[in-house]
Amino acid sequence: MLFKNVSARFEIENSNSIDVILEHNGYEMVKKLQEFTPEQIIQEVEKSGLRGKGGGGALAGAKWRLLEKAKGKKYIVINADESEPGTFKDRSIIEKDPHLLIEGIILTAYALNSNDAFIYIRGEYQEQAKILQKAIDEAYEKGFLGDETIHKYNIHLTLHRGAGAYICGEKSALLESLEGKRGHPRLKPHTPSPEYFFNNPTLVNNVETIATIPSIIKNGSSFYKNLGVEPSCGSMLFGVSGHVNKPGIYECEFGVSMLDYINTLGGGVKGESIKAVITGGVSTGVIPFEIVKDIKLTYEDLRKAGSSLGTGGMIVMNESTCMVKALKNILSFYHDESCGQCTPCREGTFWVDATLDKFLDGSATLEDIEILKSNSKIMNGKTVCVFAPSVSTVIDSFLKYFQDEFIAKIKVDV
Amino acid sequence: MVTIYVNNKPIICKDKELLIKVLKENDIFIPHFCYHESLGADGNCRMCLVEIEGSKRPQIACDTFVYDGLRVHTKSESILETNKDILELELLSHPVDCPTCDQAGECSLQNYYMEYGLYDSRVSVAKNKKDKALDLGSNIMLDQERCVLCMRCVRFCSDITKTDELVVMGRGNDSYITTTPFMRLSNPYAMNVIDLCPVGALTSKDFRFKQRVWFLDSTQSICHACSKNCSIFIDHNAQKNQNDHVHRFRPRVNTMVNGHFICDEGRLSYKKANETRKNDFIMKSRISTYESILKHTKKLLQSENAIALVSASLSVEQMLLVKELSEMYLFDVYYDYKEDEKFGDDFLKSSIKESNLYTAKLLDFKLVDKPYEESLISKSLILNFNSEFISKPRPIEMIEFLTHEGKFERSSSIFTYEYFHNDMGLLINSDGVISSYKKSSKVKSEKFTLLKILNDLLDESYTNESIYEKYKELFFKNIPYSKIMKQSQRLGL
Ligand SMILES: Cc1cc2nc3c(=O)[nH]c(=O)nc-3n(C[C@H](O)[C@H](O)[C@H](O)COP(=O)(O)O)c2cc1C
Ligand code: SF4
Ligand code: SF4
Ligand code: FES
Repeated sequence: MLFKNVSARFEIENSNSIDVILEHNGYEMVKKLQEFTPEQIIQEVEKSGLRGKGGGGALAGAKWRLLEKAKGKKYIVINADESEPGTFKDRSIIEKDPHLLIEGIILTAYALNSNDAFIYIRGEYQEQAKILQKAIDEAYEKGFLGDETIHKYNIHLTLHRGAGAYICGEKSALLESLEGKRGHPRLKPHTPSPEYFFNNPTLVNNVETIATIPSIIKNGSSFYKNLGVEPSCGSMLFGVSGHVNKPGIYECEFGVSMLDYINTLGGGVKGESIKAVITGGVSTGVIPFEIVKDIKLTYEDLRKAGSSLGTGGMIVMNESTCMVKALKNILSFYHDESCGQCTPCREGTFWVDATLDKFLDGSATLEDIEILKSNSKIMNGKTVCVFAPSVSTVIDSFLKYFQDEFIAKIKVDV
Repeated sequence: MVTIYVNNKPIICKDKELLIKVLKENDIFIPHFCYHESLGADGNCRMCLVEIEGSKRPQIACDTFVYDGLRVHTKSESILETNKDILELELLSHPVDCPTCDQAGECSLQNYYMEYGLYDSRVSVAKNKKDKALDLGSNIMLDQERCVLCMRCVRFCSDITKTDELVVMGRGNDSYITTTPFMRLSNPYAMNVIDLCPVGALTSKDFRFKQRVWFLDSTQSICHACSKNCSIFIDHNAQKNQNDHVHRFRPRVNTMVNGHFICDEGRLSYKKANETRKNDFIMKSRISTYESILKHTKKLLQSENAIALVSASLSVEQMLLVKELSEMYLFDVYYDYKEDEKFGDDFLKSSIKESNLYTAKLLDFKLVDKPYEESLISKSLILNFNSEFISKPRPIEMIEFLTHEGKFERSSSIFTYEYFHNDMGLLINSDGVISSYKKSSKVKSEKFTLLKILNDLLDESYTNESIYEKYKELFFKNIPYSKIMKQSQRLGL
């Protein structure tokens, strides 16, 4: 079941050191950089069917093409803000094979004619930032980064640490933050267009997306396209946490069964049985066991189940879980992390969070169920970014499958 | 031009125009907090959501560009419900202290609540508390609990003045507006944020708790604090048995002159309107009557060798009548002005403080300089039309026409006349734009206007219009008076 592509070097001792990975085909494609034209690399990525691993699952090739066609100085920004609860895959790449990411960045920058790349890493990843900075320094030393590189392409890479805001993982908020401003998502463009960093066309891709590039260039697009089940091509660093015996990151091809994944790689549920699973980071919402058991890990299957694949980080909850408390836990997070610019999100997350307190302290009434529902409605499809709609999805999924538990918390006067 | 349909009614407008602008220009009710003509769209309040046919989700009108055939609904059931729900959220932690809030009566929250609301509160959770009565600097007080976080104030300081004194801190519903660490709100245009704030979060320390806005009468006027001639509203009223009192100046939108703003110094210059001299006529240090001083002046004009000094802030019509008088009695007219480089900037504030210098030059009045001082020696009468530059080199007969206390109270004869806030007239600014200021129909005049006094000296009966029309071809490019009354006109430099 395990399929090691991006995670191929994870088990090697000291795999984050450049000397070690140079003995294991490190920077192999970068050394051959001049054998490819930028257009060849873009085409390989387009043909591979690679989809963004940051949660949205958009086709990477199409996004690259947008940047390729844009005019002006170009920037590459790597999204390492990984703050979605239940998600820790980018962290494993940074800790265990940072040079794979750097190799991917060099290939991407070369393909898209950019000489400046940034990695935006979440503030809480202090250790990981150190590891990554050491790797970047090593890559400069060995001549893979800088002005006079061994592969003859100038490329500078800068690591930028966030200040600890979930919303700065949203690409436009990330760029605002990188520009030195408050991390507020921008209004969406009206036509397909790249992102903009100080008004220059910019590509924002997730760590894992870019770390996949070297393997696609090395093995060819058809290798990647043949993995998984179209249109969910390739493999992904799925993760599992919660009530399981072996929480962790395990790379698989798309299409494996969710239940098999949890039972085999995740070591099975802790406790009696699986009650529900949050499918790919908390923003994707929850599905009960009856649905979990038939799900295959593809974008399409999860969409059909009314959820989404998201970041691939599953949270397993056993029969002992109180779903009201679980939702309260998630909502405190959202209440804390809403950037606060849109009224529905700013006030709605607060109102729902405070209302859930009422369920827990026994003061909730039936009307509070309606308050949860109406807030979910007003947060859906009416805001600048998809943070609020995600909150809406989460609330709806909890109420759809577990409303009984909420009603059970309402004390009826007799 | 394209045709769009709003609530099934066709509207013709410019292609690619911002929908909210079209709606506002056509007086179609569209609730909004964050959009402002002068600041553009930010898209944060989500009050302006409308239904667009063919669009799955409601769209914000402040980020929708019109195209031919666009069909918009602002009153469908689902949109009304959405608007109401968002308003409910805006009010979630609002202190509802309208009875003590200065914005009451001109508050968007109140207005929208009247439109959608009048619903019973469903809120049963504790309100989020924030700080109140924070002094931000520049006369500006902030009440964070009333704030709807529309960011207009922040955007004004970042985009218009580029001084960045205001920021949002905190996250989610703990977000609040405050000053940037180690800064106070201290730019010369700061008080505009009070007008920009759609609610009662930012109020003027100068105006706070003084008046209820619905008791105020607003008159279209022009600021006289420098030669930019920014359009303003004078908000004033007369309380029982008291004279009319001016409470504030507010910017009046005029795209040809000041856009949406005025400077703080001009705004606070309203105080001068409440410091005018009492309505008196002085002859040789004694209280006299209008008739006797009029007779006295006419006699002196016939017998003495006169010279006149005018304030370059007199109106066009006032200067024209001074010119007529000078031609009748053959005297020279001088003017003087101050240049204050520290005051001027490249936005609205002009370093020339006199509001109608352009006209003084246009009418060929002479600038005070050496020849003026020299010619004074042979003169036996000085006429001073409200100039602050007047000096009295030796005991000499002097007639003054004043709005405020003068320097030579004890030794001149004085006509007191109405200050601009209670008068009408035309001014030409330093960019050559001619504008009109109006007189409130609600205020009973107690003083004579300078026009009336000059007419009496001339034995004429010019109106503001007739004296302007007489000279419009000669000086004013033939622009009709009625056109200027409607809107500023460009004469050119
Ligand atoms: C609230 C929010 C948080 C996000 N956080 C992350 C994140 O931490 N890391 C990430 O890669 N993408 C995150 N995204 C998605 C990014 O906006 C963006 O789509 C992604 O970085 C693009 O890269 P990809 O196409 O390679 O997935 C977030 C999106 C939203 C709306
Ligand atoms: S939806 Fe929430 S997180 Fe996204 S921009 Fe609006 S307030 Fe910020
Ligand atoms: S203080 Fe007023 S202008 Fe500033 S954000 Fe709040 S409501 Fe808007
Ligand atoms: S006015 Fe459109 S979102 Fe605020």
